[in-house]
Amino acid sequence: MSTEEELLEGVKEAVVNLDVEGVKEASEKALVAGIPAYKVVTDGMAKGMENVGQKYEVGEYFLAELIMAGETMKEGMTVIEPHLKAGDIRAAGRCVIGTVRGDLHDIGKNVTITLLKAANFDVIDLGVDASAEQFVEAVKEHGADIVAMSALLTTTMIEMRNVIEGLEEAGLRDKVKVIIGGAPITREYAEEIGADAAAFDAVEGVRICSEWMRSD
Amino acid sequence: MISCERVKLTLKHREPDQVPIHDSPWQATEDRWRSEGLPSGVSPADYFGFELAGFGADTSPQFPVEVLSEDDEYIVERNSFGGIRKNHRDFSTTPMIIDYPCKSRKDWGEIKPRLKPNDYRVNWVSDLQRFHRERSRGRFITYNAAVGYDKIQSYVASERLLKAVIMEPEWVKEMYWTDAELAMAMCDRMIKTGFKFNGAFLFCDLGYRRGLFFSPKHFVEQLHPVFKELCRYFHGHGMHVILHCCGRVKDLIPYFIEEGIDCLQPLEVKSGMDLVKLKEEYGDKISFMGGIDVRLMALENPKPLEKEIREKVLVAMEGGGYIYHSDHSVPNNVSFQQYNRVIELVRKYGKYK
Repeated sequence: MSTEEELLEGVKEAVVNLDVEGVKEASEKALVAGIPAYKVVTDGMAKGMENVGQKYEVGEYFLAELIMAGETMKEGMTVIEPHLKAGDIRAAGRCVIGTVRGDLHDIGKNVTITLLKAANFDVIDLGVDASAEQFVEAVKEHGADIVAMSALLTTTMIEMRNVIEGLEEAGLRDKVKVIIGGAPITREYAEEIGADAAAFDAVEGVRICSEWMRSD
Repeated sequence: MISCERVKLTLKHREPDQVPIHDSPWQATEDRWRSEGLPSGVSPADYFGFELAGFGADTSPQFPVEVLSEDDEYIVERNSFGGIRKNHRDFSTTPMIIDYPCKSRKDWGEIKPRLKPNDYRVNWVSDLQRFHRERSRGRFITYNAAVGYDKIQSYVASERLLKAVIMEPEWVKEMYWTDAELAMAMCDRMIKTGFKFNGAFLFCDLGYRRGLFFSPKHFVEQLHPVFKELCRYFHGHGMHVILHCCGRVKDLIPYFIEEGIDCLQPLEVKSGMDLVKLKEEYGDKISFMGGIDVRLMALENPKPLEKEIREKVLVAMEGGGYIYHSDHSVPNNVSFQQYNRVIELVRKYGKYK
C-alpha cells in the first residue's frame, strides 16, 4: 500500500516526465486512496510544474517540454476537476495579459498563460493587438492584480507605455503590478516606462507574479 | 571586384576587397525611406548595393489564396498553405496565424499529396528576367527556401508542433523530409530551366531570446539528417549554403558545421549571439552574416552604432568569413539618414588592406 507521500510523488513525477497517460493514472490512484483533490493539485501537479520550471532554467528542459508539461497538467486536471469543491483551491491571483496594440505575436504570451494557469492564476487573455483601453477596461472589469504585456518588436513595445499611462489616468496604477516581456524588452526599458518588472522569459515572469502574490 | 566574387571569397574564408553588404529592410521601412530621400523607382538593394539576390519556388500545397476581410489597417486571408492569417496592410510584421490547416497527422495526410514538384511553382518569365538582370549586375544569386521546423509552422501551430516534436517524432520527421524533398526538386527544375545559383539561402528559426525551441537531442534525431541531406544536395550543385536561424542557437553551431552549413545568419544580439565570440570560437569552420544590433540604428546618439560596427566588423572580417547584415531586419524606426550612415561605416571599417 503506497503512502500519501508516495502517491503524490507519483503525480509529480508524471508531470515532470511529461507522461500524459501516467498523470491521469497517478491522479486516479491518489483520489482512490482518499487524498483530497486539491492536495493532488497543490502537492502533486503544481510541485511537478515547479520542478519542470527548474529544469528549464538550468537548460535541461526546453520550450517544447514546458508546453508539454502544461498539456500533461491539463490532462491530469480532467481527472481531478470533477472532485474539486468550490473554494478548494484559492487562485494565486488574477492576471490580465495581452500582446500590445500593433503586435500580432502570441507564442510567448500563450506559453506564459499556460504556466500562469499551472501556477493557479486566473488569467484574462486579451489576445493580440490589444489596445491600452482594452487593458484598462479588463483591469476594471475583473479586478486584476497583475497586468502582463508582451511585444516582439521594438516598434510595438512603445505601446506598453500607453497602457501604463492609461492605468494611471484611470486611477488603477497603484492597484496592479505591471510586468512586461518579449524579445526586445529589458529591465532598463521596464524602469523607463514605469513597469514593475521585466521578465526574461515565461518561467521568470510567472515566478515574479507568484512572488508578488505571496508577498501581498 | 564584383559582388558574386566578393561573397564567394568570403564564404571560402578568404579576404576580398571589402566586407560584402546585404540587409533586409521591412516594406514599411522602405516606405519611410521613400519620404526621406530614397529615390523613387530605386530599390534599397540597388541604392545601398546589397550583394545577394534571391529566387525561390512556391513550396506550399498551393491552396488558392483568398482575401477574407480587410480594412484600413489589416488584411485577413487564407494563404496557400490553407491557413488563415492576419497581417498589417503594409506587411510590417510577421503575420498572426488565426487558423492552421493541420491539426493532426490525419490532416497532414490530406495535404502531403499536394507537395509534389510542378511547373506552376515558379514565376518563370519574370523570375528568369530578374535572374539575368541580377546576374549581369554581378550579384551572388541564391535559391531561397524556408525549410524544417520553421516551415512546418505554416501547417501546424507552434504549440502543437512542439508537442509533436516530443510525442510524435515520426510525423515530424515525415513533414521535414517531404518539405525538403520538394525544395530540392524545385531547385533542380529551376537549374534545368536556366537559373545558375551560387548559393542556397535556407530559412529555419530554431530559437528565441532565451534558447532553443527544443533540445539539441530532438534536433539531432529529427532535423540534423535533413539539413545534412540539403547541404549534400546544394554542395553537389556547387552552391554554398547560408542558414537563416533566429534566436539563441549557439548550441547548434557544431551540428550546423557538421551538416555543411557554410554561413550562419542573422546572429540576433538580443538573443546573446555575440559575433565577436562566435568568430573566435567557430570562425575557421563557418562564416557569419549579421550580428550588428539593429536597435542601435534607431538611436539619436550616433556613437554606440559606430562603436558596434567598428568593434564587430574589424574582428569578424579577419581572414574572410563575414558578410554585413543587421542582426535580423531593419524596422521602420530606422531613418534613411541613419541607415546611410550604417552603410558608410560598414564600408569604412570593412575595407581590406
